[in-house]
Amino acid sequence: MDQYAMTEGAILVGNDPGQAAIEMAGYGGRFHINNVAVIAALSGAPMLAKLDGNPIPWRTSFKVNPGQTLEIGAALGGPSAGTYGYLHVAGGIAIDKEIGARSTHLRAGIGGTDGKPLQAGACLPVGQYPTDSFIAQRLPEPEYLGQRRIRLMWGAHAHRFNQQTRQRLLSESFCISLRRDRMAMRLELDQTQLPFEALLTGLSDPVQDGDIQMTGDGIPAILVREHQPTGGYPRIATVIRADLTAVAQLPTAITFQFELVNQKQAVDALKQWRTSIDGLVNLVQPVVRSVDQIDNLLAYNLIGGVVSAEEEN
Amino acid sequence: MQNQAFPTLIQAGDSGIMVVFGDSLDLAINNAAHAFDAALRARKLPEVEEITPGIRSVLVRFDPLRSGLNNILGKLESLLDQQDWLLAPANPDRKVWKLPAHYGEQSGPDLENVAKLLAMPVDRVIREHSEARVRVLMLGFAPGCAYLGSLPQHWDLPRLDYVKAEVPPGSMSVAVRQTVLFATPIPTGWQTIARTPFLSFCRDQAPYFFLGPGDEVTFEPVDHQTFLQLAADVAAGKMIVQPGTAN
Repeated sequence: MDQYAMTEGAILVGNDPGQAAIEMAGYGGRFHINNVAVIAALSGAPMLAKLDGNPIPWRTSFKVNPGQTLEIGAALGGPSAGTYGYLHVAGGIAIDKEIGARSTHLRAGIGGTDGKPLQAGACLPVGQYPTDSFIAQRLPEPEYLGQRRIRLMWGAHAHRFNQQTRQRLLSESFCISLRRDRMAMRLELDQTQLPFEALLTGLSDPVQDGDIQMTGDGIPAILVREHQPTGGYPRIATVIRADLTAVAQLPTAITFQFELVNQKQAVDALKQWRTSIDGLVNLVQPVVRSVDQIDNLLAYNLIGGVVSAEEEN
Repeated sequence: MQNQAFPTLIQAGDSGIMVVFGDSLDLAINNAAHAFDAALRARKLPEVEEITPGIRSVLVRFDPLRSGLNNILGKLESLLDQQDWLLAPANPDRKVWKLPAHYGEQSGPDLENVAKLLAMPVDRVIREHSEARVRVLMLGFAPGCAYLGSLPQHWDLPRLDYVKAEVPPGSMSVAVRQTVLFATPIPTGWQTIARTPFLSFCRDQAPYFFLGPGDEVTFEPVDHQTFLQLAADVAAGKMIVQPGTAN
């Protein structure tokens, strides 16, 4: 769902872009490292992460030794809250490919671990990685995680909707509802909002990532990565390519708005987006632990002993 | 017959153009979409990323950083101008399939209801459905899922007013003058009248998908025993049907 975060992680652990990582939707899990040490990194929507109980910073590579436990909790709130976090390991998750890929298509039940989400007890092989000395690296937090304004252009069936409906889509505020997955993100209307114009289904047309379709109950849904290839529900608008990642990361129940843009604005935004991904390699910095960055300062024994100021009598 | 409103180009988002050939379920419109799809693929335009044919349209996805909008629109318009696509014949390279199908009983629980709606004896329903020369109008919805059509006008049947949670792979369900042929377990609101042991999606065997848009299909009714035998062959990795060519 988040290609930017996939690129961040690959850079942090030294992987090729095509290597597999673990996508965590809203919540992570507990991972136990067996047999070999791994280099790991976490990217995407920040989540609470601990290694053997000690907090681990997001977007920073770290070493995990055999026997250690990595615990990743719920996505954190705040201005840069998102939905999908990613766990990367150097060498990649080295499961067998299916139809040429390691990724999972949940709707079709293809790929990944038997076409399903990871189950407790699953064991995943990690690929080989160079065992040079490890230097922790970090990347800065990107801006798209806080983005609450999603840019769109009119879609394949916009002409079938009336002016009032189009105006409402651009002027009202929305949230993503709980009915969301890798195929579609249904919007939630608040109690002051009436359902939208619900048109009859038409002949099926092919669907695009980012299409906003209007279902029979007048509630818009944003179609995302695992969208159906063709569909009969009318699509009023399409999210611009540059915002496909921001829209996928929108947290549930957080207010956002749509903004209509033209082709030139969409192209400029895409140029900017691609440049920011291509520029990630230049943003990597080694981790230097300064005192104000150490969370568990109290655990460090910095002072050898204490001498009383008063002389003993 | 050419409707002056079609074909038409609709911009969809910043990187998609829908080429629309008509507004009804019609074989000429479907042929036009497939013919244009084939012609566009043959062009191998570097700025085109993906071409998806539908029942009556073709979606062209392009890289907007590689091509200005006017450039890609111009190329599509010039291809559209090259011929009357609505007069395009069916693809001469289409495959012709005769698929075994077990009608009714446990394979087609809605067959009797469909016979009632059609006011025909079940035997005649099976004969009409199996002998109708239909085309793969579109692939969509799920891996290997094919929409076949069109059946004669009286087969314009409604969907069920509920959705069945799951029908088994190979199920053949009808509604709105089409048969949808599923290759995976799937929910459906269409009326399930038969089941074929042939699965159009096989994850272990390239090219993974067998029925193609524009292919011709008829069915050969078989009994349940034969169905089970053929299904076992498919499960063992055997190809139970070899398609023919159109000419």
